[in-house]
Amino acid sequence: MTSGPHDGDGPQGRDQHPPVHSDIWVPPEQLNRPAADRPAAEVPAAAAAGAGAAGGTAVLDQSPPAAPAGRHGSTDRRRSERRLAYWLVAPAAVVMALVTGYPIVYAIWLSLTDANLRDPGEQKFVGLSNYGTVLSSNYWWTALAVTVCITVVSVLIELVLGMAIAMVMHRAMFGKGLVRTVVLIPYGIVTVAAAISWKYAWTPGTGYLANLLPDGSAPLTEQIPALSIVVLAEVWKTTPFMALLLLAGLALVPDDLLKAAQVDGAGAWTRLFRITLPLMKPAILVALLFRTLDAFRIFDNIYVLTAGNHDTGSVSMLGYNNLFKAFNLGVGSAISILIFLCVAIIAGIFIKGFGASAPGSDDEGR
Amino acid sequence: MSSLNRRRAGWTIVNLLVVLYAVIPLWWIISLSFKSTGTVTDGNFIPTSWTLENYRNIFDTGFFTSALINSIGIGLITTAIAVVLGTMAAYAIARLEFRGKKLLVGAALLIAMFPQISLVTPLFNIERRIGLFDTWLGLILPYTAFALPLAIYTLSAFFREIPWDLEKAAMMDGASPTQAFRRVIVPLAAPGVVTSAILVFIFAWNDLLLALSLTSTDRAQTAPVAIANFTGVSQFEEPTGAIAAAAVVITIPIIIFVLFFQRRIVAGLTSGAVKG
Repeated sequence: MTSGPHDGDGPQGRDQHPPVHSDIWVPPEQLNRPAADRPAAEVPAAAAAGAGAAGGTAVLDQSPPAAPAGRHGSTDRRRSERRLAYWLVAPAAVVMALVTGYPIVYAIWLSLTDANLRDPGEQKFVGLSNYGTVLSSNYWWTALAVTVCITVVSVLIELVLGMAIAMVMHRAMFGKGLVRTVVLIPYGIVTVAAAISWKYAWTPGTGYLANLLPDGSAPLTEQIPALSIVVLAEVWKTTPFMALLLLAGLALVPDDLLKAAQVDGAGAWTRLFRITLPLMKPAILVALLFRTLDAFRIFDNIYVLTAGNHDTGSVSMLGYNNLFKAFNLGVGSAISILIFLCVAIIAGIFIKGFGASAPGSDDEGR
Repeated sequence: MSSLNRRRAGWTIVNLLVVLYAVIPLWWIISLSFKSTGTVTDGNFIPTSWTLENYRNIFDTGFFTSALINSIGIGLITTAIAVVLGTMAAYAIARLEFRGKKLLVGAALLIAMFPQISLVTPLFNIERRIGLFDTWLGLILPYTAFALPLAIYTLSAFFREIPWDLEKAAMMDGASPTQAFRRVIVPLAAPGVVTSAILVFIFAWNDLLLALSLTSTDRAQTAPVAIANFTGVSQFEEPTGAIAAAAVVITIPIIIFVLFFQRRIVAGLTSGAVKG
């Protein structure tokens, strides 16, 4: 299949894919195709990737496995190549496993105990009662509802706005360079700094935006207005990222197709909904996945804008407060694990949406 | 002709809207930072009287300066480690055949999506126990772990585009392996390495949650934490100008950097995420 270690890709691989260029989105389905007709010897690795998605700790199994049974010939070279690969990969794998895999296992253990920071010596196994405490508490459900609202609303706005900005970057008659440059400003701003800008913009008496409101209103001290401002700050900061991802997808929609449709009498909206968007589906899904998971862990903006007061705290905020205000490690860990499960569920839903073409499921065969 | 003009005008307006969108919040905080204590609450978009007082004030308190030093030090060390480890791993992923490659890529993707709050409680406890709490290393380690997926994805996307055959060609023309590597491969790989270094640095520079949770004093507290928790001399007076100045100080260098390396960052961001 692959003709030699230093060719990288098999010859068919090269023929099927255009040379990979960072500005060009390659639909995952296409990338996946060669994976399907790869020889059986490579299947275990594919299965392993699935297992990898189940838990970060799996990276620990990076020790060189025994030589694969199905392969003969030029094994020495293969083996030395593999050994080099393991040496190169090991440090990164170890760091990632130590810092994420081990603590998450430890968090699972902590969540089953009544550990807290007030009397560190005492630690009793309490079973699932911490989860009971969290799941029967209003704080958790409020925080979850707030987080889900922020996530859904901001990601939807970002999608529409990001699509619009991507269109501008793609189609503008002039000034493309300028637009592509300035949209990186929100990306470059430190989230805390941007949040402070929004906070003072909405602080009565100080801000240009608060001054537009009727006298006496303090938007950051009421739940819905405050959440709207949080969404605004989040959308402002991350829409450019969305726009750039969508732009990469937009570049793949063939102009000829759009022109042909136009000749056939399709209006601009028809072209957008019938041609552009369907062809961009993979890019849109990836962008949505990344942004949804990112928005779900929102912390910085809320910490600065409202500190979670007036029922505006996200689940991340709740986890943080539980540790540093209530000093409760057990309950805090239970919250951590629950958030982790939420993220896993969201990711799972998206991966289902991708079908087999989830990012990372194929990859490197090309 | 007039329809062309109209389209031109239309695009000018659209472009202008995008520019305003990006610039207004930034301008607002810059404007605040130059206002004097007397005018900071006037709500004006442009300072009526300009002053550097706020900037002098934040650097007079050793507190912000040390946070800035911590941020720069931690950011640079994280970047160095993540880029070196990431380059090694990305080279293996892009060029070598080995089992567990998909596992590694999947795990990296998982970590990229990981909710950091899930690690805060256990990491806090572990770091206190082994004495890493409130130290540079205590932040560098988690930053590196979270930055590695970013570095690996960006770099392996870049490495796949390098025409490695050039190395062989150079050796055929009489270059030694070292020369071939130094003169041919390094220049080709450098843009990718620089890009991933920038992205990693921005990530480390930007973080609030981990820095907030894993530090407690000016030994390791980073600038975003200092700004988020900044309280003035008196608790009744919000030090708006000073906070704004501090926010500008930590933001402007990054923005200049981002605009300067614009193309690379766009390529890196989309390759890291889209190609994932």
